Amino acid sequence: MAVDYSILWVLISGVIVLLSAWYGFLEFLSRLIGAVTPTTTLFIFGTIFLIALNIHYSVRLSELSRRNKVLVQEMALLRHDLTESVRHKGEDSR
Amino acid sequence: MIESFKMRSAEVADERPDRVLVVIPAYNEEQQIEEVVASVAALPLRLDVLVVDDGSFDATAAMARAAGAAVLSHPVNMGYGAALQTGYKYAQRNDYDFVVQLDADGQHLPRYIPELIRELQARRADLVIGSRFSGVSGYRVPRLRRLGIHLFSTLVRLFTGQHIRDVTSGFQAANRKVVRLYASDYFPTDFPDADVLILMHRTGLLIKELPMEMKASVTGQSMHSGLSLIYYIVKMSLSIFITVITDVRILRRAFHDSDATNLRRDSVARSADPGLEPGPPETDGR
Repeated sequence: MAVDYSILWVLISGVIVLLSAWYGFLEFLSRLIGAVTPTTTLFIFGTIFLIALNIHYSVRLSELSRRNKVLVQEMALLRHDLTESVRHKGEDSR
Repeated sequence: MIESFKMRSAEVADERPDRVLVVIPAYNEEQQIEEVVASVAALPLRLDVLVVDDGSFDATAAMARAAGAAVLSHPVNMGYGAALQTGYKYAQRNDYDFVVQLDADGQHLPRYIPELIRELQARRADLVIGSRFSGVSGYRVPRLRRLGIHLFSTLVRLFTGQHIRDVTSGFQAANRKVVRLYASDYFPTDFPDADVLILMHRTGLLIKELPMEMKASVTGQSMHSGLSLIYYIVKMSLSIFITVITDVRILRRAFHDSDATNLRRDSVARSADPGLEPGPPETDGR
């Protein structure tokens, strides 16, 4: 997961460098989508990217909290079993 | 596994007394929990009491244990639905026949428990809900909350054709089938209410409502009030919508003839192949 996100951010920084170094490309993109100023292009793509990323995070978080719930429940059940078996052992040895 | 318990309930039921578990989810209820557990244990009925302590920071767990209940403790607070589900998982693993759930705040009167269980034993339903609105009443509900309950009652009627008046009641008794459903990934732990009822209906389980008296919550704090109630209504509506579009074929099959022990929601996607069997009607379960 960490590596996946590293790749994503390296790619994103690459795109940012590309757009700042090569203004012509930004102008070309703006003409392509019919934007009047290049800033609009930056904002549009930036926003789309951030929204997509947030949706992705929501999905990820939901799945993580589901797993977290399962683990907490399992832990409560196991801890109960453990206390019980320790208690039974104590009774047996007496 | 299903096969074995079918056999057991059919053939051995007469020799073996039904094992009953009373599940009480509790979060910081040290004031009430001892009395609630004691009054359940005092019933002239063979049953075990389980308190699921949902990460309380007061003495709830110790009090419950002192009163003679088995206690499961969540290391962190996970919410009512998750605590409830932990109780059902415990029941499933320890092979209980029936589970009764009631709230820790003392609003549900344990003396109705035998009546709830009788309904299950007579196989009149898979789930019996103790309802504060059907006839008998000893408890006034705030108007906004009542409105919310009415809304969901209407929605439940729309999707199940069954009139259940108190869809938010936390006083319920369930048989093995329901325990299995509640312990599975299908159970919406966010806040299980009307959505579960609709899911159960679509799965082909029978729900029955039993009128009873209830005490006003002694601590006085309702789970939903003001803005949080409105948010709850929105959330529950969405949850109902999801329930209605959930593919329940796996579940229906599991309850009828499969040997799957754990109902995994993930497996639905894999077996959603329409070629497997003629799908049931999408809107109505039965």
